[in-house]
This record gives sequence, C-alpha cells and structure tokens, in this order.
Amino acid sequence: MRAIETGLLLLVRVVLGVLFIFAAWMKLKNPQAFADSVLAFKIFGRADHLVVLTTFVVPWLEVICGALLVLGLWSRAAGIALGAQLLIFTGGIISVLVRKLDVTCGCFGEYEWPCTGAVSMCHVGRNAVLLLAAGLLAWRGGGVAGLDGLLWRRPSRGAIPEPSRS
Amino acid sequence: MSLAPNRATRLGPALAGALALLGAAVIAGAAHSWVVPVTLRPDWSKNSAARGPGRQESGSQIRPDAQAGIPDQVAAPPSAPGDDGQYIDLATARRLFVDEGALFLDARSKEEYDKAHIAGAVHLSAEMVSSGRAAGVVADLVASYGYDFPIVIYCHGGDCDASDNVAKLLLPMGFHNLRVMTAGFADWQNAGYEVE
Repeated sequence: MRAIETGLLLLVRVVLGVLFIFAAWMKLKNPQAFADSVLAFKIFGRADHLVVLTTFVVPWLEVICGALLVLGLWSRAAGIALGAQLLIFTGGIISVLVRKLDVTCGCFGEYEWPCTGAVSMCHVGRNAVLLLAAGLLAWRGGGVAGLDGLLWRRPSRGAIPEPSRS
Repeated sequence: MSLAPNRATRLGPALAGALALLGAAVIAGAAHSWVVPVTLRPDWSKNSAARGPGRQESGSQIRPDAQAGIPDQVAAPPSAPGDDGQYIDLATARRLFVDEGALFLDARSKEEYDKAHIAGAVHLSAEMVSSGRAAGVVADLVASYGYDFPIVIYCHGGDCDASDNVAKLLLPMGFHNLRVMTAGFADWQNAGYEVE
C-alpha cells in the first residue's frame, strides 16, 4: 500500500511538474499574447502595472515550481504555491463566466487542451483536477525518487539515540 | 518515544517555502518585464491618417469590386455618427467598405474565420502577430496595400478585445490608417452585408 502511494505521488509530481513547465514555456515565449489574455479578464481595470506583473510572475512561478516538482525538491511548497495560483485562476475564470465575457484562457498558449475556445466550465473542471493534484502533493509530499527524500530522509529508529531519563 | 517531526512533512516550512517561491517568481518576473516590454493598449497617436470617420486617403487604392452588388437599402449614409476616428460603428465600417474599399482584418480565431468572414477580409489574430507567425501576412499587406491604406479590424464586438490587440501591434509597425469596428461579425452578417 505504501509503495502504491509513493509511486502515485511520484507520478503526480512529475506529470504536474512537466505540465506547468510546458505552460510556463508557452507563456514566456510570447508574453504579449499572455498579457492580452490577462487584460481580457478585465480584473485589474486600469492598473496596468498589475497586468504586467501578472503576465511575468505567473509563468515564472510555474517554471520554478514545475522544475522543483520534477526534481522532487520542496515538493510540498511547490504544491502549495501552484495550488494557490490555480485557486486564483479558477476564481478569475468563474468571474469571467459570471460576467459573460468573451475571453480565451491563454493557459497553455496556442495549445488549449482539453478545453478549447472561450473560457467555460471545462476550464473550471480542468483546474479542479490540477488543484486536486497540487493539493495531494501539498498534503503528502512528493513521494519517492526526489531530492526531498535525500535531504529530509527520516532517520531509522536505530540511528536515534534514546534520551536519557535521568 | 516519538520521532522528531520530519521537516518535509510539517506545514510551516512548506508554507514558508511557498512564499519564498513566490518571492523568487516576483523577482524573476519583474526583471523579465524590464527586458521584454509588452503593449497593453493601442497608441492611437500613431494613427495619423484616421482622424476623421472614413477619411479618404490621397492615392489610396479603391477595390474595384467594392461597389458591385450592394443593395441601396443597406448602404450607409455618407456621414455616419457614432465613431471617433479610431473606433467606428457598423455604418461607418460599411461606408469604408463601399466607398474606400477598405481592407478588413478578421481578428477572431482561424476556425471562426474559416466558417464565415466579411467579404475580402484577411485573417490576422494578435497571437499570430506577437508570435511572429504573421510576418508573411504582414509583409504581404505592406507589399499589396502599403501603410496608408484604410484598414478596419473586427472581431465579435461587445467585450471582444481581439481587434484592439491587433491594432496595438500594427500601429508600431507603421500602419497608421487603422480603425476598429465596435460592432462584431455577427452584426455585419445580420445586417445582410457581404460575407464569404
């Protein structure tokens, strides 16, 4: 059972990491297109500096967290950061749906899979699945074959000296 | 006896780590935005040739088929209200189409363009321009029409920003006779104007 859990965590960690590195790459290679997507959400009003900040911070957070997830380093921190970002994104998408705006997501650049076209409940569902995966990593850590396991390895019982009871 | 909590399983360090990652992303993103600027809004001050509604440019070419087959009842009045020179309404766009043979750019998705578009319109999305994939299309536009030719950009109308996004990328390239149609393709189609 333990082996299944750690194997599952490893799979989720690597898949999520690669996915977010890809998403970040698609945004970073054409920041203008992502800026247009951020603008289209009409959340920041005339606060252009926030649009610019979001345009560049989001992909950099994705690439940093994605790389850490693939390496298995700081997996829980990366899971929390990506989970928080996904929560904010999903809130933005729901806000767009409520306001009935005509917006494309821009989440994966020109590749919109599995949801295509304007943002819809499909995007909310996709983010919910990703949020579940990020939450799992935040809760349980990154599983085996990661740097976390090497750095924070739990010492074996025999290696811990018993405290003196005197 | 209990083992000391594992640092990798405690919530506090993980939250602190998440904040550190956010900080690193903010620093990297701020530096990146300094190096690679993005354009958020069209700089209409560069749109020197489109100051008045449907202004005729000297030497601009009139599409030969522009007047052909246009029913009288859908022809716009010579002076249409509701535009400020950059953002034009359906009637003004129609007048530019008929009188000046303006080039129409469709900023919607390729799938939507392929289904139907304004007669003679060229597909050009902001994503194509910003990614460089439209370099050939833009070069063709310059070769065929030059920078002075009246161009009308449209998308879905309403909240659609796609046409604005194309305009803000074309203006710095030297196109200075651009207009954005505030009505959408559906409005054009519903008015019975030419589509293909």
